[in-house]
Amino acid sequence: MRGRLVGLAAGFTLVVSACGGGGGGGGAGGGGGTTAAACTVGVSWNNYQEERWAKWDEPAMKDAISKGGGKYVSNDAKSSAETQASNVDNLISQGAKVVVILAQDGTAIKPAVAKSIQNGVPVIAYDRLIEDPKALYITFDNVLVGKLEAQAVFKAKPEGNYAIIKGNKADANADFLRSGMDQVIGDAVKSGKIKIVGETYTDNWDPSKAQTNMEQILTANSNKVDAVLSENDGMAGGVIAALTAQGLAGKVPVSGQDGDKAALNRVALGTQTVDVWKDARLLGKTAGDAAVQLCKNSDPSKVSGTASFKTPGGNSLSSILLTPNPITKDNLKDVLDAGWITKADLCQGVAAGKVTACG
Amino acid sequence: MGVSVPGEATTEGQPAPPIRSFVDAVRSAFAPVTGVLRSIEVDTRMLGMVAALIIIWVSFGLVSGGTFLTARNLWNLSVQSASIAIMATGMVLVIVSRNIDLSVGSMLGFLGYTMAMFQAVWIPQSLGLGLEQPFTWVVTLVLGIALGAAVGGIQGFVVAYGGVPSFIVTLGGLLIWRGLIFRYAQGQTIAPLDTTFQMLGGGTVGTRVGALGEWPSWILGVVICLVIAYTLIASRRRRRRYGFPVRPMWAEVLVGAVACGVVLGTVWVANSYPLPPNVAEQVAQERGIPVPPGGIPTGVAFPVVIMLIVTLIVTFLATRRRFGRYVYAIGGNPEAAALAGINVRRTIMLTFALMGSLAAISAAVQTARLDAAVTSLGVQNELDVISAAVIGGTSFAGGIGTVPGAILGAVVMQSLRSGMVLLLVDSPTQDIVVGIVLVVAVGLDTVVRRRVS
Repeated sequence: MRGRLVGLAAGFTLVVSACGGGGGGGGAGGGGGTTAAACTVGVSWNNYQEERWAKWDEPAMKDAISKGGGKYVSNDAKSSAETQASNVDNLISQGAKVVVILAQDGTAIKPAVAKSIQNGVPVIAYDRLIEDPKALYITFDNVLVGKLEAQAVFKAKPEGNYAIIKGNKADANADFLRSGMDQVIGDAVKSGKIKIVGETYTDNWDPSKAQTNMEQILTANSNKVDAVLSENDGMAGGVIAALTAQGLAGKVPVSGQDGDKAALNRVALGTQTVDVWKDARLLGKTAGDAAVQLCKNSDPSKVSGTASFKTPGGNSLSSILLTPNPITKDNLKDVLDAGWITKADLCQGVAAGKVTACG
Repeated sequence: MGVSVPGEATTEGQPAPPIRSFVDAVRSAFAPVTGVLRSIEVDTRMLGMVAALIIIWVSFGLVSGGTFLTARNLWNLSVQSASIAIMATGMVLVIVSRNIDLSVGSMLGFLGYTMAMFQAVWIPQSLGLGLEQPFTWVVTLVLGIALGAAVGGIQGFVVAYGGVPSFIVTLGGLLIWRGLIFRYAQGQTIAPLDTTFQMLGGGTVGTRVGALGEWPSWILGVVICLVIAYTLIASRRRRRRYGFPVRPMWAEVLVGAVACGVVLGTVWVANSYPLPPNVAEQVAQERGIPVPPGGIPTGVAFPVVIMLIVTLIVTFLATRRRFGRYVYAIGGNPEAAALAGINVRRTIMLTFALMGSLAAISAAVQTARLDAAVTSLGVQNELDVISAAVIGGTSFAGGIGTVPGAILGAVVMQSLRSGMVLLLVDSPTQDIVVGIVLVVAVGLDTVVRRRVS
């Protein structure tokens, strides 16, 4: 498996370097134009097979780049960190003036990023952090996501017993989200108004594991759980299944994020309190706009809307942190208007007249 | 069920004198006990496992301040164990025939996804029949099981007729079926599912509860007791007819009483778990009765009923049908089995097809329980299923292993897991503990067996 991937990558490098002399790049998304184009933006996807990138992120990014007079080339690392490193080199030999990287592994990609920046090609760390002080980090604010999740639940239940269902332990996002939650409930926890009766990480963000964990928390506390902070929608599904079995669904507020169809439907049904929605198209557009600006001036801190971001690794880098939109029963219209979900999917099983967005 | 009766002591490999006298002393000290065991003809290994389970339960009970041993937790435990236990029954036969199936987790994910598509998309939308049709759940389940048998059968065909080692074929399957899920699910969660189908997971929808309720549970318990009694009597008669030695009558009664006691005890525990107050109120309202003071008993959960039915069927196949005897014969000595005229290839293929259909049943239970099909469905289940079979006494050398043992193995594993969650032990520590238990259990078993022979 590994050998084959390396072989593929090597083959790809050969082809590209053979073409390099001719000055024409035939990348995955390249149109075979010339390197003389004003601004060629190279994008390295880590895994293009996942629905999201092709469906939401890429079209928005492409659109913003072409509106800014640039050209879009891309390749796919197929979930391999080593392939991605050579892919970045390939993009530069295809004439990219700016590289956008959706990192497979934020640490393994660092040498390729440093090399690229040394050669005068600025790098945008897209959606996932790359610990390089000279990169531009564009993402949704994960700490804020946690904060928004907690705010909606806290509003519904300002005191009582809380259960916290966290994501995968190895994923830094799980802790970012948790720290955001703490900004909201921290004081109430200290004063004793809120008691955390169960807090667990969940292997691979697995909904079935979240369900089992929730069942055990309910058992250990004889159902005396007043609110649940779940870090994403999948796990919220597991939590709500466990609550349903105890006849508590809809009575205990539950949070989530991602804008999953099933979760938005649960918000409409009233079993999930909030779904913090991150519009991937906004992320794509912002990155596209930033790339065009970086073509003109390679200093990331000069891109409009940037601020300094302190990373967990102690670096500070320029970043654009987008604001997510917490979707509750009251603003379900937002996801419908944006064309994110169809009315049929959103309103499945919702009684008429109960939710404004469903009519 | 005494498929793996330990062989008689041999004179080979006598230990050195001091050790020998010690062993003799121990042996004579336990002579009355072993004498009793011999006349009951109960697998000593099974007894060891029951003892281990009791130790685990009592320790968790003490540490958790009694919560672990509440009817509610044991009911949860039974539901949480069911889906792994269902697959473990089939895994026993696969391993006994000297094969392995690493693809069960991915197959489960693939089949679960397909069944979710049937009920949430294809039947209601593509066929335009709409949601919540009364027949949706049956059609989905039957098609799912058939597809499972086909998928497992294909792998079995490649193993048996293609001569490719099962480790490789099912390792390929592990990647292929998981890849197919991502291909056509594209990372999406499919939910909600048909409400009748959800009952298969033991959940609650409104006033419908995925459990038998009080009286049907007792009836189920009594029926199973009658089956046990009938099996014991029939087997005694058969042995007589062929002139085989039979157990003394008191041993026969003891075995029957213990087995029946366990069954009725399980029913009693399930009935001691009342429906949650919110649900009970609604149910009472619907029946037009006040909520009784002790609450409304929940009864045995449907996933557990399904597990019991599967256990009965697979045990029957394994011990009373030609197919099962062939599987054990092949595992004991494939060449001899082939020379004796057994169609080895066909038998092997059938074990994989059976495994596939059991994965479909587990998939139904898991998706119904979660009320959703997610892409991580069944990830790493192959490890749990194989561990359950092996802790339950199935040997990788082939020819040895029992279905009830595997069920016990699954319960031991899940007891450890959910007990640790109850005590808020984090997941990496859980993995470490379960890993150690797996190795120690199999290691002890091997050592004890070597001593005995």
